[in-house]
Formats: sequence, C-alpha cells, structure tokens
Amino acid sequence: MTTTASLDAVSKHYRSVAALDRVDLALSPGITGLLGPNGAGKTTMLRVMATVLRPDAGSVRLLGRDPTDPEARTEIRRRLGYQPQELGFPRGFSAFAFVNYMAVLKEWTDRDARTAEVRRALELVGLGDVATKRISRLSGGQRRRVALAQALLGTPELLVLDEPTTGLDPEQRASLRGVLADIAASSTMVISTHQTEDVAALCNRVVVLDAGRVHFDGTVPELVSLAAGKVWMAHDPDPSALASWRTASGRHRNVGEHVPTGAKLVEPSLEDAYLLLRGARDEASHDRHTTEVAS
Amino acid sequence: MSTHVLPTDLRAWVLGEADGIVSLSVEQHVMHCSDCQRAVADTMAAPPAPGAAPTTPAAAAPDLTLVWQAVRESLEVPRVSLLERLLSRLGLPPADAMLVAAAPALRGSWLCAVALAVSFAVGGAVSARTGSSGLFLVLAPLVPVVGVAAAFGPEAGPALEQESSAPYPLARLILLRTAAVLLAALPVVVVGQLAFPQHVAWSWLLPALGFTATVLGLSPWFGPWRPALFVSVLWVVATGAAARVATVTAVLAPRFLVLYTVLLLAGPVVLVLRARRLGTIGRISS
Repeated sequence: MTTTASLDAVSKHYRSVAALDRVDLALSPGITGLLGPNGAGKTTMLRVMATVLRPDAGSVRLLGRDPTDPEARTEIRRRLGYQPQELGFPRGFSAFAFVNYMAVLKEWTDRDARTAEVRRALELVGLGDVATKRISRLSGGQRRRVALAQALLGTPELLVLDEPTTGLDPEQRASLRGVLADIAASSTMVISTHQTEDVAALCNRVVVLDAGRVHFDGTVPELVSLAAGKVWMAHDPDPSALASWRTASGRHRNVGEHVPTGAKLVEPSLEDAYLLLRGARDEASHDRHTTEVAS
Repeated sequence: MSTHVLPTDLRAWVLGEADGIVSLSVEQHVMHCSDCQRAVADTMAAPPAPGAAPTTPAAAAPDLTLVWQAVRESLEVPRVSLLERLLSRLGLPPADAMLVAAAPALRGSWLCAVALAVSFAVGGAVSARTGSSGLFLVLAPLVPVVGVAAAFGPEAGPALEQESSAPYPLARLILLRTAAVLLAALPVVVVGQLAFPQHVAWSWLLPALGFTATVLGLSPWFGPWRPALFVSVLWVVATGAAARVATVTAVLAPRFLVLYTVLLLAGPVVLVLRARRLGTIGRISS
C-alpha cells in the first residue's frame, strides 16, 4: 500500500524530556488513531506531521516530500489539513470570517471560489447555521468544529487532527465520525484522541504512544485481541486487576491476568485492551523502579 | 402568537419594497425557517395581485437560488474594510490586503500603536514647549518597536499554529503586519516631531526602523517582546550616556547611522531566512 507519511527514528526533546524517542511510523490512506495518556507525545508527533515543528533527529517524509526543504514544505502544506489541539481564534471573528481568513492563507485567492469552499467546509462540520456568529459566542464543541472546518478546506490529502471529537456531545460525535469516514475514503487521516470508541468506530489502524515511544501499532482487532481471555465480570472488584470498575449492571469489570472468584469471562473491548497495555507498562515500569531501588 | 414573518412583510421583501429594517429581520428569519422559505417560494410563484404593475417574465419568477445566494452573501461574507480597500488601491494584492486588514491581532495592535503614537506626540509637544527635545529623541524610535512587538504578541497571535500549517509564508505575513503598524505609528509621530528643532528632525526615523527590523530579526528565536525590551533598554542607556558625556544627539552621529542602516537591512533578511528554515515562528518552534 502507498505510504503517504513516514517518520524514521524521529526524536524531539523539550529540554531533558523526550517527547518523541526514535519513533518509526509509516501511514497509508485511511484513518490511523493515535492513543496514549497525556504527555505521551501525541501532540508533538502530530505537530511534526503538520510541518509546524521540526524534530531534533530523524527524518520525515510527507506526501512523498521532505518537509525540511522550504519548497517541498510549501507543497506539502497545500495538500495538508491540520486541526491543532490548542485552539486559538482571533478576537471578533465570526466562524465564516475565520475560515475565510484561513482560506486566504491556503491560497484560495478567487473570492467567489473561496466563499463557496468556506461554506462547503462549514456545512460539512454542521456549522452552516451559525456561520455568522462570533466564535467567542460559540460553544466549545462548535469552536472545535470551526478549527476542523479550516482543516478540511480544499479536501486535503493528508489530514492531521488533534482531538477532533473533544467537547462534542454524542450526537455531534456520531455525525462527525460519518464526515471523517467519508473524507478518509480518499485521504490519509491521523487523529489523536482519548476516546477509544472513536478509534473503534473509525480507524483501520491504531498506534499507542507512551513516553514518546510506539508501544503498539496494528489494527483495532489486533489490539483488542491482546485482551482476549483477560476481561472478567464479577460481583466484586478485583484488587489484583490492572483496571476494575463498576458497570451499569452493578457488576464489576476486571481487566487483568488474575481470574476473580466466581467471575465470568467476557468479550474484550478496545478500551479493555488499551487499559491492559497501559497497565502492563505501568507495572513493568514499577517493577523496574523497585528493582533499581533494591539494588 | 406567530413566530413567522407576516405575509405582507414577506411579500414586500420578495418584491424589493421592504425598508432596511424589515428586510434585515426577514432575511435573518428566513435563513433558518423552512416554513418561511416555502412561503417565499410560493409568493414568487404566485400571480401578481390585481391592479399590480405588469411584470416581465423574469421579474415574475426570479431564480430562487440566486436570491438565497445574495441573502447569504450579504449576511455571511465579511465586508471589505476601508483599510483593505486602501491597501488594494496602493497596489497590494487583494489577498494580502485582506490578511493585513482582517487579522484582529493586528487590529488590536494597530489601534494600540496609533494610541501610543498619539499620546507620545502629545507628550513630545509638551516637552518641546519646555525646550527639551532630548526626551523626544529618547522615546521616538521606541514607539514603532513597541507597536511591532504588540502586533505579534502574545507570541505571534492566537491562531499561530493553524496559520503555520498553511502554505502562505509566515514571514511575509509578519512583514505585512509590521508594515501596517509602521503605517499607523510613523505618520503621527512624524507630525509630532515637526515641533522640534531642525537638527533632530527625521534623524530618529533611522534608529526607529533599524530597531524595528532588529525585533523582527530576533523574533524567531526569542519572540517579539524580549528583543523589544532589549532594544529599548539599550537605547535608553545609550541616549542617557550620550547626554551625560556630551549631548543626546551624539547617538545620531554618522557612524551610528550606519549601524542603524545595517540593522534595518539585516533584520528582515534574517527573519525571512530563519522562517524559511524553521517553517514556523514563535512558541511552537521552540
């Protein structure tokens, strides 16, 4: 399959902290979900892929070009859409005015064509009715969709979206998933999220990042299969489980190797698998720390 | 009570006979009301009222799509501002003019620069009356520096990350905004300085432009405020030292004017080259 974006031994440090530590990744058309705890390096990776941050080491190729070359970078940006995690909007702009402003920066110089494209992008994210409202008067979810609308201008070939569904209500999220799935049919999309259900619903591939390193890279079913035979429903929480929580039925869902007394084995979900992966890593790092202290 | 547009108002609006206030209310309501949209379509399709002036076939059945397009256009698309029109008249491409005029970071900073310049000009005039042009010389070159720093603060605007991922060159955007700040700040200060002795006239412009260029050149590394502060402190110390040793105008000696010229030429070049290499400027590049 065609590789649209690739990272080869990419590292980025903020002072002594490694936000990315020799990351290798190759992305193909379709949707790749990026999971990981806060501080895992997801946003740094997406900034690198959006050409707004240069790595300290390693090489990046986007849409067949090297972003360190100024001409190639401009060409990449012509075919790239980026929604950052931290949203900032100029004061006093309406949703339409902001997306229109971004369209000018994206070289939509013809006024009529630009107006039509801005409308299309706003309609696509369901903001057609509030296009004239000031961004400062929009809800958090609507602001996020304004940022998404500017990313969708020109139907980019590479879409980099940092937490696109944060702040959206369930109905908006479902609708947005439909939009993103349609767009992904003809582009490469990478989305960072804390919502495992978004990944399960949308992504052909999932990458789990932690402490700047890739800890899992595969399909959603492959990640889910890691938790097969390790998710139990029991009357009581299992203290030795990696994760345990009370469900709506009143029973406890326990994720881990240990079999609680009287428990029933259930089908794992993506969230179970992610928690298992995270828990195993925390446990390993705890064991390593204990060994280091003991020695 | 009905929440829809009165049929008489709707008909008047369709026929173009409604006044401005009624038109605005009808437009805003009809944009979001499917019932009234149907009523508009029905009104347009309906035969003219008895006694009404005969209409041409085109007038009797206007293209509904075009009508909606015009309504949306008037409501959604931001109007071309006076500054934008002026910049376009001066030969700036329309897209560049729009970027300069529309950036609210600039708008705020632009107003700030003008306010600074006006207050400074007033202060300068007062100091001139008391026979002290030294204060003017100390402060005049710093006004555009502060204006430029304000234009990019905090850290080059709230939408920097989104702007950085667009193909439009960020250095060009910053230079355009700087030019607009200078356009706003310099004329007012120039008017203010007309009240001062001839030997000071215009000579402060060169350090002003040189320092502004220095702020631009250093901004990819340090942001705009730290270089602005550095330059300001350095200038105040230099003029203070000159005043103690001889006269404050010693900072305008030919050898210093050469230095200001070098800064003026080097600053934008450094900015463009650095921005080209980094691909971005400001907080996200660090």
